[in-house]
Amino acid sequence: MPRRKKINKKVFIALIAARKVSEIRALFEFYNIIDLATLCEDLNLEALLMLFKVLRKDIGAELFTYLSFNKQQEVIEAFSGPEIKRMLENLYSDDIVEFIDELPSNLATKILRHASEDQRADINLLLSYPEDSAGSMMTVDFVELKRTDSVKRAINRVKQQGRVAETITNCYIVDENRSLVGSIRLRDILFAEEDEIIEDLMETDVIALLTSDDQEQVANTFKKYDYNVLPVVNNEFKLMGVITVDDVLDVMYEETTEDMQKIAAIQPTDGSYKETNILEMTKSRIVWLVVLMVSATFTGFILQGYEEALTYIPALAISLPMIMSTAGNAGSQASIMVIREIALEEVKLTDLWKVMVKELKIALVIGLILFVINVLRLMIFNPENSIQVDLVISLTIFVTVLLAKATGGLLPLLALAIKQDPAAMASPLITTIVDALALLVYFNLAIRFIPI
Amino acid sequence: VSNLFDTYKDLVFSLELKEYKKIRSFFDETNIVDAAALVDPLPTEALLHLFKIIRKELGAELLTYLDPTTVERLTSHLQPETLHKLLEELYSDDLNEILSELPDELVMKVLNSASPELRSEINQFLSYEPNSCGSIMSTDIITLRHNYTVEQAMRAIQRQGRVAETINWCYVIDDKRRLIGVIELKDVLFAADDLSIRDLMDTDVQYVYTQDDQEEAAKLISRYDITAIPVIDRSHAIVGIITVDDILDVVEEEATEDIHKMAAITPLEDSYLKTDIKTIVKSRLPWLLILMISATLTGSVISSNRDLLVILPSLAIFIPMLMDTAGNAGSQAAAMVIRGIIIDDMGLKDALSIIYKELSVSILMGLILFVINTLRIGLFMPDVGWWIAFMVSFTVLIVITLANLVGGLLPLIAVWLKLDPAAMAAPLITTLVDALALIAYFAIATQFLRLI
Repeated sequence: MPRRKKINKKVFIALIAARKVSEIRALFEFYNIIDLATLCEDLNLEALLMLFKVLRKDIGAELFTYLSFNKQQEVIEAFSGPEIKRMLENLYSDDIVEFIDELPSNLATKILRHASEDQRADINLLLSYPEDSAGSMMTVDFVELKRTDSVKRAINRVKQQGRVAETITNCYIVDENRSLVGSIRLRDILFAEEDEIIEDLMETDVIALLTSDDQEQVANTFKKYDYNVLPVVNNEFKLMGVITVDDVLDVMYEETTEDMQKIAAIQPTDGSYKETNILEMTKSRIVWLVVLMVSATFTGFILQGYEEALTYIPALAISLPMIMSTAGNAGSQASIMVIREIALEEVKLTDLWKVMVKELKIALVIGLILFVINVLRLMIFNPENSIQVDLVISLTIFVTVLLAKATGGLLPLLALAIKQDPAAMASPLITTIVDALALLVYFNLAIRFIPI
Repeated sequence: VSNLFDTYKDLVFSLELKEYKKIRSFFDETNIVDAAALVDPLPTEALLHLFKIIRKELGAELLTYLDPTTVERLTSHLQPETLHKLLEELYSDDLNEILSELPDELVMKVLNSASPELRSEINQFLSYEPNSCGSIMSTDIITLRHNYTVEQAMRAIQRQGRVAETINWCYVIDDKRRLIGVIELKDVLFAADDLSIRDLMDTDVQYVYTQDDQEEAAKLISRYDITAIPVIDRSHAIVGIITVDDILDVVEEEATEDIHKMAAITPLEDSYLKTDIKTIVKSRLPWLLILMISATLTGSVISSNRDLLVILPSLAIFIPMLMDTAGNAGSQAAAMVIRGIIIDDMGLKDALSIIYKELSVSILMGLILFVINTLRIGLFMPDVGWWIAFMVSFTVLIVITLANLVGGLLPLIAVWLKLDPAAMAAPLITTLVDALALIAYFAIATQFLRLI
């Protein structure tokens, strides 16, 4: 009977405190390492170091990769040279790089000093790629075959390289220059005759990623072609590494979080809400708040220009919030829909015209409905208004929805055209722009049609 | 890409000229996803012709990548025998996906042309709730009996492996097909022939039930960093598997839904460009209406402070700025907490730490905004006067604090009420925060007038 095994936190803490070595080892054999790592977050450094001493080295290394960055850093700082060395021997190079990337340089050097020569070369190579590129995501531990290999030879290679490889489902075939020439699924090797030659069995239409590809591009390629593993090549088509689909899943969660934050006018933070400290949190939020607050000077100016109208027709001020929030909401509905489509590569710059036409049609329908309902609303809730006032306010809503939807649809595409991030640029600005437009429409209509 | 159009013309031409060899070699050399994009626009007659002459495996593979409308054209015109042969070649989860896109009468046609076994499998699938794990799983899995030796296991893998969705993971079952463990292909491959599977398997296996929501599978796969998760029925028998590549689509769909909900849009089924105007209007109108009418609340705050506006007309000038800043701050906090709820399982238990964090962030941000805003008004709007500038900036500080608290706590309240935090909290925040901002503004202004 399958069970979701749940560790008892108290038991775990008690065993660690009592230093029951064999029980602790059994615990780590029995329970899921990720659940255990979560519990280890609450241990103090001393207990954690004890744990690493008693655990089997490969289990210790696995535990290490699943700890939070802060804990990892504490552990590495406390580790002696030989301890680091043993840890490194049991880690995949891409996991090491992911960790080193964030470290202050003195600690990074400390780690690199204890790496074996091969490993150091791997790590340095991976570190040389820009952050968030395919090169920095890939692992260099994969199975590589020669085109002239027989099936028997290939299986031997899989067995040799497979122990350290991150995946063996797909093997990649290179020529004498290490250029990628084909790929083959492990099952096609396993189920073939021993004397068949790999070259005759392999697929030659291989989809490959470039080391310089952005991680978003990587994710989109995986989605489009439905692969579990993709090879990564450099500009000369030399095979450099592979990326597995589970890494892409992490990228997707990351990118979505980033997009949501950008849409909400937050500069993306690295950690989650709980892990981000107050200073970082403030930094990520303050910039846009200041920019938007200062740019609200425009709306202030507009209102200042119409101060007289505001004083003589008090009903105007009362509807101000309603007009502004409707404009803002309508604009962000359009912009966010378009932003998301751009991120998923469903909408391109060439669709500009289509988007505009669509938004205007939508705005016409929505504007009309809101116009009617708003006239009714004002007549019921504000019977003291003259009919002119009701009509001006409702007409403003209609025009504003048109403007807001058009701006909302257009701005993300403009950002794309000038090679800016649509989510970061367009979304926060929409409200301010649309607010200013709404106020201009509002007061112009009011002055023209309402007798003072 | 430039010769893609030529390739399409070639394809049509070759079909007319019955150059079958050329067509076959074209499909052998071209990636299936790209090939499907060329097949989609073919007229129905050419489409049927094509499916008659290509290999059945290729046809089945093509079927999974074609546009649903193309599949519809095919299924409605294909001979039942040809259809039957195509269906037999499909992986069960692909078949299920194709069926879920087809109109009912064509599903009946497919069912009629399927073999009895396939028919019962399809019927089983159709009985799962949409978006449940059962509905997206594949039934092509590798199962090993617990009493197998490594040698027997290898033979079982070879037998089942040709059609299995993945061979990386083999699931170990007892005599009643109940899931009791998992073993990686690597570990079978590299083990001595006479070892027993029972001793090699890992009993710590994550799984989902057929009736679980697909999001549950996505969560477990990403949390436990695995590439596939087995699906079991109520009697704990293993019935299928969900692999990471299936989950990518789920994660993306859910993310789009959440982003839309946060922008006060009811989620759409299809992509923006493919959705008609009526559906988009329906998805955007409800919230716009609700928010517009609830803005009556903010209006009434202004209306009950009308006297104040008469005494101090320049108060109105800052209403938009205050509302915008409050709205922005509130949605920043909400966006972070909503994402935290989705990804990190934050909940009511975190209320205190959220309050603490938001308060600290608010004080820091509020002070910065206070200084900048006082300078901004004092320098850019000299006729307003420093006293008012001071008073408005003080309001900003208070408003930021209120907005951050509401933004941080409202999603939690939604969770507590068992409502969707993205759908409920995000759109409401602006309205609530707007009203709060104005109430605070007028209260502070009243006190302030008394002082001077």
